[in-house]
Amino acid sequence: MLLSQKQRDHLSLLQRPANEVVELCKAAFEFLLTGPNPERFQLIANNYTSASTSSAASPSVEPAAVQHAVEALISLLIHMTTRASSSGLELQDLLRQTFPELGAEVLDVLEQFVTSKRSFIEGSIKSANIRSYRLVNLDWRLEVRIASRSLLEQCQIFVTMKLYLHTEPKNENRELLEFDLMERSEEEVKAMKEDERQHRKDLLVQTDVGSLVHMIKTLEDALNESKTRRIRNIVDALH
Amino acid sequence: MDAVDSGTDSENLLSDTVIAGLRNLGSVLSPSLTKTLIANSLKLTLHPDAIIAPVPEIYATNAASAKQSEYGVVTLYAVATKHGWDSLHLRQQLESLNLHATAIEELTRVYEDNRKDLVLRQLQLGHNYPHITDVQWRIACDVKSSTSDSSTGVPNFYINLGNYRQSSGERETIVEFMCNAEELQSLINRLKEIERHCHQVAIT
Repeated sequence: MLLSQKQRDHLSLLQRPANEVVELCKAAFEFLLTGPNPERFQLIANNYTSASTSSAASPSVEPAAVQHAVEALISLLIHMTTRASSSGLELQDLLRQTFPELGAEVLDVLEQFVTSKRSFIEGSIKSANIRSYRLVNLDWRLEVRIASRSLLEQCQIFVTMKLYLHTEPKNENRELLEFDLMERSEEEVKAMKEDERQHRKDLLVQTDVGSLVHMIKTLEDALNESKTRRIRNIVDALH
Repeated sequence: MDAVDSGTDSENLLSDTVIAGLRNLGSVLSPSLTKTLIANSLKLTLHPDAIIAPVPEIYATNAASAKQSEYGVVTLYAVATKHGWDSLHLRQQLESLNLHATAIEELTRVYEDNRKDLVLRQLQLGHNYPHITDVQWRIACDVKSSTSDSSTGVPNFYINLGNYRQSSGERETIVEFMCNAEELQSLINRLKEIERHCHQVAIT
């Protein structure tokens, strides 16, 4: 169905009181925003272990099991978001079908978990497809070229522009990538540099004033065209 | 000739090989072949990939000196354009080199007639960032994808900035990127800001 058997096994940690499931869901949010946090997993595992020894019901919980559960929760979040938007099924029903073994309270927690991050996930998965470059920033400089090797006397006006292009999907997700370098370990900085190399491109280009005016006019045409009734109708119909 | 002027003196700027090549014009080469050779050299300078009708007579008697003359003409025009000589100055320089009278006439006339094109040609030379002169755009909206069953419901703009090759008219893409309506609006605003600054600079 929605999840693999392995993921289901990992989610066996959900069979506990709703307040503890909330902790797991919070850890999953954190994971989305900042990546894995081993200390946090350790802490949750300790809590579960101490709780279970007092009730003497289940064996101790390893931090790795917590991490697996968190990762499976994120899979669940992604699957639920894609499935719920296309099947037309109510989220609650979908969850109940998927986890017949879980109590109503825990299902409520899961429903909240899925709905609260839905737009974030939706935005990410829809644009996670084939990514072309997005223009994120533009620096410019007005220049007058007054001499060159092949022509000693000249006076040519140029607009030099630096285009910053990223392949990261969406604005809100991109902000997450604006890390504070000071707080990062060497390895993380290295990973980020690698990411930058793969997903970012800076480009120096130039144009003249005439072409600049032409560019503005053409881009305005494009923008105006997108606001026409015809295009709006088509887009609405597709949605 | 005084010291200040000697900086642009043809004898300093033109090598012996060039001068020898120019001296062949109208002497070793007949006046009519000289005309053809100058015309061909100019054509080659202005349009490097132009197809030039072969004129075997030019190379029939002395191919090496004809080649040297072609080199001389191309160099002369490049140097004259670089230093902004007017046709009068060019004529004076050629006269001081003791060229054949028909060669001086023809070289000066052709230079006078094509000065603007030569300047434009030499503006193109050298290092430049890719120069944008053209924008292509398309609006697209996704319907379904491998990662999502539903549409994002917003149109995206694919913007392609490029230029046209001067020789062939072929279009070259410099950069292509996508943006949504909001991002496009902010790009337009940014470009307008640049235009406004250009305008201000032009006024002051």
